[in-house]
Amino acid sequence: MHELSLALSLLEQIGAVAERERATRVSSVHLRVGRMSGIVRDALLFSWELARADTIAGEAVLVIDDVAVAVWCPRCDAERPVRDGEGLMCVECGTIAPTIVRGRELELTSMEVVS
Amino acid sequence: MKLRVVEIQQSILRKNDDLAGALRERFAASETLVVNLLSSPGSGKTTLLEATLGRLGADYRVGALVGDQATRNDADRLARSGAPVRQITTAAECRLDADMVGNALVDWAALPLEILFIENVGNLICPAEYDLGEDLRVVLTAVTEGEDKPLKYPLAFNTSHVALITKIDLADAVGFDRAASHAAIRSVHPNIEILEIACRTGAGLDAWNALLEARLRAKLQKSAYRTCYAGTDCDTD
Repeated sequence: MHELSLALSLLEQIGAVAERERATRVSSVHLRVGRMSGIVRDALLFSWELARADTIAGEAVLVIDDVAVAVWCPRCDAERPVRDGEGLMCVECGTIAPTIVRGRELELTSMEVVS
Repeated sequence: MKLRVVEIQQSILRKNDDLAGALRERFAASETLVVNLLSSPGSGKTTLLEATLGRLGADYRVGALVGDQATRNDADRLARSGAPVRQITTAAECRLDADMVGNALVDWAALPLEILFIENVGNLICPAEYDLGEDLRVVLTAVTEGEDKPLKYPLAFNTSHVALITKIDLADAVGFDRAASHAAIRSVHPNIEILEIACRTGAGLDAWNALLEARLRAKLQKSAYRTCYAGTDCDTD
């Protein structure tokens, strides 16, 4: 459970951007969160509610965009999904594909600000 | 009043990544090999460190940082090896981060070390996301945990350089399937180095110590090469 510390560090980044943009208020915050990022969506939303109070994002909506896991399959020479519990195995050809290309994201992608 | 969208594209872990980068520079300068140990609670991280600090401590300056949510038990246990040890208590946090490691190094008389072990909080999920500036990430899984931990927690095994299968002396007693375990590990990281060890019998510990010594030598060579390349201190023999 490190969602609360993530929410706090997210708010630090939001504060820095808001200051740079001379914003008076932040109305929404958009994240990309990979399925393999170790983050529980509901726990992050819960932590966000607690952490945002009395900040410039005090009323901002947190919008989380889930990112499915994808690996680079060397045999297909293409990006492929994997199935849970099968390791990092290409669903098309069964090759073990250890290069994770998506699914680890924990990214602040954009914010809507009022200035 | 104007509403507008600001595009950002920034990792929320950026602060940790920056701090870890700074630690890596610092450990390059002090020529310290840093080993981050990851596992579930009870896989044998502390027992492995007891054995390792004791054996390597005779020839090298070794030390350890130990992370736990509460208690100093692990640090007290490891201190008996004679090696310098500091406990990091993380309270609610489920993993160590680079900031905690940096803070734990402040005013530590034991520095500089040749090998620094960092025993992470027992957890296979969150620690995998946090770079601590380590050279070597080592994941442990005990035979008592079954064979499929890598399938349940792929990232910890995918991001580690070495996998240690611990308590191998109990393999027969618990019906552990070694081939299935190796296959599961390799299904998330085909080229990972796998060692089977048992601290109670000493099985595999020579190979483990040799691996660490080889990594330390490789780091020193890289460091010497870098210094030479920069033209400041070149031994031409």
